[in-house]
Amino acid sequence: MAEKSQDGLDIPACVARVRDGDGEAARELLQHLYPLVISIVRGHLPRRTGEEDLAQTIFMKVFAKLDQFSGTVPLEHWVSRIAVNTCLNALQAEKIRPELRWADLSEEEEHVIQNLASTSEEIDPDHGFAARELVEKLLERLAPADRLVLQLLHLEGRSVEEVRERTGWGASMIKVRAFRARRKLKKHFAVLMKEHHS
Amino acid sequence: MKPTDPLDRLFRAAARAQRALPAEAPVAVEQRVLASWRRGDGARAEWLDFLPLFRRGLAFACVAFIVAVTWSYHGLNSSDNDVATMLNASVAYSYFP
Repeated sequence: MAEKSQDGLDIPACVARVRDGDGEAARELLQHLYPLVISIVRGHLPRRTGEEDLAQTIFMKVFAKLDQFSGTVPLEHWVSRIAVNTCLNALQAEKIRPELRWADLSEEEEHVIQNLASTSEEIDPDHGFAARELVEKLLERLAPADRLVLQLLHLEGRSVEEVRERTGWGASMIKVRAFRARRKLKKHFAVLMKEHHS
Repeated sequence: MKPTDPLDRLFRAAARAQRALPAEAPVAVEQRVLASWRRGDGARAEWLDFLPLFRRGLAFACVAFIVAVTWSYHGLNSSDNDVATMLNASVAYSYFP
């Protein structure tokens, strides 16, 4: 049975047409994959890099390697792996990961920290975006692979199996890496909490 | 009951604040990608994936070269050892011909 996407695109047929050089099929495939790619890019974007630039690089790789796609895994998984690897390479090129200090936080982010330190209640939804920015700033301090695993598990709410499909890593490696990454993140977070108290 | 660890609460709040994903690719991105695909730039760009590997290989080769040069330099300058070896040999020869 043909693999059809939610938007009604017959993916194997579309891939075959792209391989034959059909520009319209290439456009349809790009539009179909764009939300997936941009969601990965947003989670793993290096500082001073535009999300569209990175998405463009990923699509260039996808189209260049399309002849290597065997069809044994869903196209989305195959594209996810290319996107994840491209993002990791871009993050690895970003060598400097300075410490996050209290002075680097916005007023809203400071409020989130104060809330976390003073109560055990959930953060007000109005401060959701500040919380997200704070998490992203904290994640920037981690190594790319650590950042990726926490992003997928805790921010995107993916299961270990889904992370395995996206990254190609083993389940035990994902769990160990997540545990270690969380421990490192806690250290960075503790520094901020300490600065808040002092 | 949900865990009250501050980091967990922070993650939960951040996860709730998702930015909406664009429904379609911007025209500029679409055009650049398709133009590159038609030109076949991707295949050329693919070798760039191996650039970090080449760089590491080159650095390793340089280190190996420096070590080899240093080692041979020390080997050439260690004439004391040669003298001791010659003396040992002559003593051994005179006692055990």
